[in-house]
Amino acid sequence: MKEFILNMLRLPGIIGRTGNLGFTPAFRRGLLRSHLRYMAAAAPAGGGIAGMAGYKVRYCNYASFRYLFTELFLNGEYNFIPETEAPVILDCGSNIGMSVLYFKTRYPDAQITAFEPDVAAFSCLRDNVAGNRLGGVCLNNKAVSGKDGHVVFWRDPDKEGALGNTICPNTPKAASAADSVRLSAYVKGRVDLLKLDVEGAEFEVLEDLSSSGKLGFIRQMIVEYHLHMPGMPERLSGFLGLLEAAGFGYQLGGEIERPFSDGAFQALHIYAYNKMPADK
Amino acid sequence: MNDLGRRLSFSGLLRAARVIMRQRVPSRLKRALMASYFRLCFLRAGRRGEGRVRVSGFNVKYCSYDSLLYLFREIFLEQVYWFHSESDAPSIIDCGANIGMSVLYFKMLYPAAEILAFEPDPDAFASLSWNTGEGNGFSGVSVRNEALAGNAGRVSLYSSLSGPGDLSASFIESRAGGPARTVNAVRLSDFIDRPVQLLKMDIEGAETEVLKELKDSGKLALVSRLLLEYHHHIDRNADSFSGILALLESCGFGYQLSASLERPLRGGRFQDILVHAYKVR
Repeated sequence: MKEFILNMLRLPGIIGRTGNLGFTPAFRRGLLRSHLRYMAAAAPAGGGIAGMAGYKVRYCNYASFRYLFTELFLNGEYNFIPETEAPVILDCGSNIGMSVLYFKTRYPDAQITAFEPDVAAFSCLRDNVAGNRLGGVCLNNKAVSGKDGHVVFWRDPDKEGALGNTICPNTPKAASAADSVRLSAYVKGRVDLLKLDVEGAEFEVLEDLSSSGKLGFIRQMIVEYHLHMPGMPERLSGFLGLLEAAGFGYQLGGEIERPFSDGAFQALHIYAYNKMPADK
Repeated sequence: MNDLGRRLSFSGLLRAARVIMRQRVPSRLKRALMASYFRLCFLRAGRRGEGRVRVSGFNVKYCSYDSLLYLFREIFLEQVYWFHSESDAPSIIDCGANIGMSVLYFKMLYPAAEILAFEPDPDAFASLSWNTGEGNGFSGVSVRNEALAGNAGRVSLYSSLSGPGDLSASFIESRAGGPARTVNAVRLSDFIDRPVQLLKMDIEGAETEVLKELKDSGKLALVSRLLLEYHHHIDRNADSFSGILALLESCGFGYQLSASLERPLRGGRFQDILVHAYKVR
């Protein structure tokens, strides 16, 4: 009941915000209808299929789906301005493909290469791209990291396709193997957007792009930076330093949890943009 | 943050109440905060210029009502300067104290705190010295009408056009944009000779040089916690935040960051980034 009242109070803000996200009026109405429907219904257990503003979305777990729906479609987390109407996008850490649906909704002509190592999430991603007849999307059931080959992929065994599944050994989880590639091999020309949400591997991915000389091809980046992953060294200065050296500017977003506790994990949002003019 | 009760609105009030309820302060203080919120946002709405008001049990003299509202929201409602201290009487240095709302907040958290506060702007300083002196009769607070810089001497302080005691008076002309005044600058390291539990710094663009000077003098080792307002993109083409983080990392600090990212995502925007840094034991 309390949740329902809070949701009702948030509604005016959501209605206002979705008006500024560049969706068509029909799609926005569809989004709001879906949102109301999700609000009214009880959360189903396990995986399933949900209708979302005209799309059919297959998901592994409902909580992650709702979270992504809210962040991407209601809050416009990836709301960026490309220099072309047909942007080339590298989407690393696509999970079930909500980001792919978002980019395709905003830019139907986008060329997207998506990476997702988790088998369960990837199976949803494939169905969501095929089932919604999205063209110009290339899918890779692989992790991006600093090396080609195989990596250990740590999954949450209680939650299929969980958003925190990672190649970084942090909290004890179930280990499995995943194919891994260096992202630099996929950068052959101008990339309008690199979306990087790879649960702690972001530093090695950026290092690979930098040392291979491919960073200059990238125009904009949206990165989720994982600060204080257990067992990982502190090197945000190094990450920003690589961006600065390659001529990128950046804006940061982050919220400090209250009460403040030293060393708490924090998900930072880094938006980086190439300050050099693009080659034509 | 800026929509928090500027206008008389149901959602603004509701949000303020929610923010206050979440705080880790005694309920007596929560009630005082809520009452202050009403007083500030509703009863006196529309008031301009300088004056006096009671905030959370303190007497506050202010230069500009808008600045006061802003400081009240950020410091007392959002409590961005909340920190944990093992001691009941932490030693605090407050750089860029403006009219002293941060000093009042620290005294609310730790009434026995020893505080040294710096504020170069003469108008803001007059309020600061009243608020920490005769206004509230604090003991253990000393105030200095000086700026902090890498080198001691005279510096130009540019004020903005928003009125006396404004919040963005800076050494950097483009940050403030108004007329300049010459003020005394001192080195922070000359004031640190024993452990400091908290160093709060909001000095509108001078933070990098002051922090460097503190590191080079070896005095940063005496500081166990930093609340640093980093002013990103004062020059919209300069990105050098990594230098501050590297300095903190090399001196054994961990950190968390607070900043808000506007959508649509666009570069070259000015941002206040709050760095909460702590010695890693």
